[in-house]
Amino acid sequence: MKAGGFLTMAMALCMAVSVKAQEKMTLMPAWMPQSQFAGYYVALEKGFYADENIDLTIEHMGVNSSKPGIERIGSGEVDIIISHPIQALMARDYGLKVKNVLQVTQNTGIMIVSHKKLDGPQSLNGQSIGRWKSGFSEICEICCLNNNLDVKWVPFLNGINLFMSGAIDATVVMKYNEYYSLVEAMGSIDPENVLWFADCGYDIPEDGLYVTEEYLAGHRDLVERFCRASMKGWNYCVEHKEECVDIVMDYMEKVGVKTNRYHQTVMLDGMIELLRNRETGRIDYASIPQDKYDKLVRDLLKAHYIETPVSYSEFSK
Amino acid sequence: MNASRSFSKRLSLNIIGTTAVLFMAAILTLGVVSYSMAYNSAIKETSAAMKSNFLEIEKVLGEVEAVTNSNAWLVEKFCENDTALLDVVSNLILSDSNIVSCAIGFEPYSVYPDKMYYCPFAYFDEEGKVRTRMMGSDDYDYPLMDWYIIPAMLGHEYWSEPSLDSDGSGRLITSFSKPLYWNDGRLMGVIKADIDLQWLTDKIQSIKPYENSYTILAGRNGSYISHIDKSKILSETVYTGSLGVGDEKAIASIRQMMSGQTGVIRINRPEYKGFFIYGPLTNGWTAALVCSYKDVFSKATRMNRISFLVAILGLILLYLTNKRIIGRHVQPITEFAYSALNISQGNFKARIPEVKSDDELGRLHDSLDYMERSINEYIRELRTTTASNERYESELNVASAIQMQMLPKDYPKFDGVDLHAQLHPAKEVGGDLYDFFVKDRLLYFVVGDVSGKGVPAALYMAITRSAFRFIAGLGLPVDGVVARINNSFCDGNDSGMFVTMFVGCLNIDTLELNYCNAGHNPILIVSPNGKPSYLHAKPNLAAGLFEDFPYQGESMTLERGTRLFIYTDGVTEAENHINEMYGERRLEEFAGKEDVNESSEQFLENLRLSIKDFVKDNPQNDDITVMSIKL
Repeated sequence: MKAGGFLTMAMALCMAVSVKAQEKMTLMPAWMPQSQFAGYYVALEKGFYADENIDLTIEHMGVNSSKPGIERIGSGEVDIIISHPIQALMARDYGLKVKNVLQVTQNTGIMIVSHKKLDGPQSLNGQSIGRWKSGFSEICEICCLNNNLDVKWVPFLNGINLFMSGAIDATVVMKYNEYYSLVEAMGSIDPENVLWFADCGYDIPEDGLYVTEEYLAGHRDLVERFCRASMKGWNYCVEHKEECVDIVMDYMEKVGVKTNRYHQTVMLDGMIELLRNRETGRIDYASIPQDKYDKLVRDLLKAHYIETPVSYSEFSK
Repeated sequence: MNASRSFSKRLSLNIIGTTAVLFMAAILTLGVVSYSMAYNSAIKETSAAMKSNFLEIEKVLGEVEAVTNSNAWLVEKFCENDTALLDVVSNLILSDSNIVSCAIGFEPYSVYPDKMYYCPFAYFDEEGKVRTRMMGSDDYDYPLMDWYIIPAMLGHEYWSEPSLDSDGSGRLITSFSKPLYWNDGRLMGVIKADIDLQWLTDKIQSIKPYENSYTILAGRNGSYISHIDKSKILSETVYTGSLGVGDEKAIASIRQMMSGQTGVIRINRPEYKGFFIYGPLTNGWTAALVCSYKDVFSKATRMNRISFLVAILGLILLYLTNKRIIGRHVQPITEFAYSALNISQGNFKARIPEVKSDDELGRLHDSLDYMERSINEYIRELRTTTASNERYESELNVASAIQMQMLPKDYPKFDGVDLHAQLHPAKEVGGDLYDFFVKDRLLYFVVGDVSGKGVPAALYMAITRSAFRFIAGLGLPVDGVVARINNSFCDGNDSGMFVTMFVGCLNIDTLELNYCNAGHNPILIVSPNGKPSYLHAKPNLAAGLFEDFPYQGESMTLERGTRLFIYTDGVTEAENHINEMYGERRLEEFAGKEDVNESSEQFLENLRLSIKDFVKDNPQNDDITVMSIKL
């Protein structure tokens, strides 16, 4: 009995040491659970973070919230967020020193769908266009600005109801999300009513992982391990789509988000398409190219989204 | 009996087959009509049910709209009085039992310059008490929410797309929102009343005209608001299922359904066959009643199955009855067949079944009876005729034998003169003749051909032969012999018979030949060196045509070794199967090829074979008579 008790205590101690060795980390995706973030849920569920000794918690923002996630790493609510380069640069301009630690997608998913036919950015002139209050549609506004277009931007929270009600002429959508919501609402979308900004010279990569400089300085190894596990999660998604959709659906059910399997499947397909380099077709999680970055900074300065330039080295780790 | 069963069975089956086709056509028509009636009735009834429920739903929605509108004027009045505004929203939710919460969202900074969010809100707590609070924060950014921004931008009232209540109750709500304006026309804010959709979904689902029918309700963006499968509510749109399987046809139909019109869509998928009857509510939502054909047509199907079963049973009964009745009626036919078989086997006294009816069977009986009597009569006549024919044939045979006996059979040699003759009649008796005799070193010979054939010709042949023997025996010259024969024939020749003949008288010592040709074929003379030639005598008429006709005889002296060949037209007119005649030329060639030293008998035999070889199996149609005299 004594020997057995000692063995039990030793095992419990080992487990305690093991748990203690895992470093806590909190991730906030840019939205509610959906296939856009499948790689992170899958990495968590498959134990890829645990393998890297990370005890990850994923927190989601409220469905009616307009507070950008990037503000939440500044306040320390979360450790790492999923955001876009433009949001990060604007945050830096506000004084929040955030750094890109992994560029996940390689292309933009931003589109504009209109009730009218679209033929290039010029055709947006005079239209009222819905955009998310939380951001992510700045590239559209920069494009319109560069083309001297008279566009009325209408901020809204989310969804497609504003556009479907006919209150606005057009709306910003993500190629992998709201675009399919509109397809599900109308049965189909005429391709002539769609403008994809990757085809308009504004193919700025989007989803990436961001932390504050301060956090990175103190947790460089942890962040690297996190990125490694996240990439593993995404790679797993590419090979096991159905299983990953199952995982996403479970997450969505837990938080009570209404969805359907078709939507999450096409969203995952859309995300995987954005993961790939458009020229090589490879998934390499490459950092944003320097020339593309420099043009983006120039555009942001011109549009006064930022007032001071941010160097490439300041932006990316 | 087997034949009877087979016929009655076949006839029964034919009747049943025809009847079955008519029955099936009737049942099919009945089926089509009943299905069509059921379908039209279903459309009518379901349309009426939907319309009735729509009216109830719209009445409720209308009441909510009216209550909200009637309180809107209070907002401006109490816009700077939080308590009063909270009373307004509280009173509003109490004034209509369908309203579960209410809010007045003001435009940011429009009431208080320092307040971005200003939104009095009232709701029922878990105990059903009215609670109030001010809403609006980063996490409840109402100016950007659908219930606010859409009516604000549209500038008119708006029923929002249903959503889950943000209080976490899982309750499905929709909001009636009305934009409010300051006196100067600027947007003041939006007042909204939330209603629980449970009553609406219950009402929708109560439209259930058939056991398995159900109703769906979809918002303007296609999201299911009510569905028999609750997991689809707010999760899927009316298009999702079809998009998942890429069913473009279904998508087109759904688009039609969502177009705000009333109509019917037929579904003909392997897994589901039925129809949607759909129509819009006044707030832009679409309801569709889904009915399966199985349900709609259940009564018609049951009725058609019963009709089918009755038809089958009727056909079976009809078959059995028909078979029995037809069998009974067909029985006499079987007996007739048996009688006919007996008759055909030679029993001409076979019993014919009695039938007293004056119908087809009666006529069949009379016909068979008449046939039997006719056969018996015919057989009697046939027996008489056959006996007569046999007697005649026997007599003919005797006549033939007598005729042949009249012809000389012995061919004695006369100092180097070799004579031989043959007669081959075409029938039992013929009209050809030949004869010869020697008197005083003179060889008298004749070859003749009586006109006609058969017994009359044979009688004339016999007369001619007798006349020749008698008259030539008187020692008259040959023309005198023929003249006497002619006159004797012409005397009392009512039948118009005549005879051609070649009469010759050869001096055996001097080889002088006197001859008279009375309408007969030219004779053939083969010289000692073997060269044949026809002897064309003076043209005399055949004997028996004109009394006292002046026949002219001729004479010539022949060389030793010469052959005389006398024949009737049966030789030259012998025909082969293509009606080609043996002819004088072929006869001349034959004679030229034969050995000059050949005996007369051999010569005639070779000629017979030559003619036989020419005519092959063609039947002989004339008497053939030949005579060869080799000097």
